Amino acid sequence: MKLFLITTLLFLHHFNWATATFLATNKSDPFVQKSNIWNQIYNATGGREQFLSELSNIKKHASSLRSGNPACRVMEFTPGGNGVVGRLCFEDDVCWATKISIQSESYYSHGMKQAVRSLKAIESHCPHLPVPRVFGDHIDQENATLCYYFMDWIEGTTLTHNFSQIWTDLYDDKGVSGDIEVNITIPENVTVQLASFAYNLSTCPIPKDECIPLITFSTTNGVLGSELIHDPLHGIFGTLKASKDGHLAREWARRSLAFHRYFLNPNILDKFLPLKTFTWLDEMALLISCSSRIGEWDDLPFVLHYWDLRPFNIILNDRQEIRWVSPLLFL
Amino acid sequence: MGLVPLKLSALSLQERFYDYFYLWDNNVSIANFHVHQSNLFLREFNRQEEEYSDLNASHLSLTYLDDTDHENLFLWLASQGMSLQGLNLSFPNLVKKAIDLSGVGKRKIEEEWANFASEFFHCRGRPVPDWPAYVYIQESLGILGNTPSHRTARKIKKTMQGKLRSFLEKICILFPNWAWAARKKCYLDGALLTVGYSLPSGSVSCI
Repeated sequence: MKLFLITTLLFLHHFNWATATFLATNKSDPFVQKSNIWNQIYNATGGREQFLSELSNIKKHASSLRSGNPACRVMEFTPGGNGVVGRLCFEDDVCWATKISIQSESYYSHGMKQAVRSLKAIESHCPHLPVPRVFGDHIDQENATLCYYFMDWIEGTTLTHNFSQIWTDLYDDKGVSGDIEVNITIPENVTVQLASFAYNLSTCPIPKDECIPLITFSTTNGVLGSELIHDPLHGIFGTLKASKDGHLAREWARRSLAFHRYFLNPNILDKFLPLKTFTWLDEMALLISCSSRIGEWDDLPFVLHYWDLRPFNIILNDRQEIRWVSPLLFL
Repeated sequence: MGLVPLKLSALSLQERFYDYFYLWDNNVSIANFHVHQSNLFLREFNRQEEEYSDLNASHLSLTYLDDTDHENLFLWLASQGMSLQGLNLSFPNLVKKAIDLSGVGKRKIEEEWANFASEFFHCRGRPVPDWPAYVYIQESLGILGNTPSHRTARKIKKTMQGKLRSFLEKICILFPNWAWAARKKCYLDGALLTVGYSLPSGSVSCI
């Protein structure tokens, strides 16, 4: 019996390994990866040949941006939330990060444009902030399939690998309640750097003409936005252009809620609502009450919001110094 | 990176580390999520604020103070599309307050719907589509009738619109310069053919 079990386990183990090996070596196309965004980008180009051609153009562009035009190659790709990042290395071992997404998807391409603009503004006006330098971009080009930009390649590990977390089951009168408590401990030197980053970003003196246009919401084929204007009273902040009735924050909130809560594509949310816990009237009530609450902040300035000050978007070097904080929308 | 009113930017360290999608999946509410360096973060922020007080940014740190209700995080997550179920796990009191119809009032919902329909549909020369959510809202507000006969009438209207649209499609091919026909067809496309917000032409407006 024991022998049978051992033989069976060995067979199953070998079968799994053999199956995995077979699948890995027989993929119809090595560029097709198991990531939605990767497949979206790959398919947008139209297939392997076109993708390689796009890649070749990206490499030529990168090469043209450096003196001496050194040749380069892409070492690896990492899929992110709204694009992929390629590690592009030149003959002289200098490497750049190349963030690539789909030009025709306005949510991606506008997000990329916003990311480039904010990184450039921060680099110019708050150079002590640890954000990567941008070396060039290819966004909103006529007839382009892909949009991309080049920036510093930073070696390091994400903050996720630099803090400890303890998960504990919580108990009630009947035993394990199903709820979990999480305790996070971050190294003190990293915490101090995070505070410094948050402070310096909030007070970064970016001038009016370099402010980032606020994307209030986008649709598949068009972006509707409000214009960001400089607030001379605060000097270091930008503010949103007033809506017709003079409200800034409320207008921002109303549009943001309408877009992000799927009021313009309710078919998506319909998939969740059959849970029947909440209805579309609840959604309407939420939109009204949240935009009204945010509307009370009409006199507050608008500031850069680095929501991606989250563990997996922060890269530290081996001395636990923050070297990179990724802009929203990309990784 | 985007622009938000200052208070939405000022999330505490605990709030910033609260990875809501992942933690919600694992039944971890913000009340049971602790970051032990939150006070240190705030102290350091405050220290920098005092050191550079000439930047006219004093009192920023006050907005970073941990708020037991986490209202700023709630408003931020709501405005970024977190589901009501997800919000309810961490912010049951705020959700209850937000969706309390007696607090908001039916009249306000009617107003908001009218604004929404006008801004995104009527002002762009398009009808409000009969997506289930839109029908639900309009029936609940009494804008559309909710009896079987009302629903049958809407079905008949939709069938007629379909026939008219087919006819107009032919007209548009025969007379491509007839703007009125193109506009009417676009209107009917908006009524019958949109899956998302964009029209089949790729535009969002018929005007």
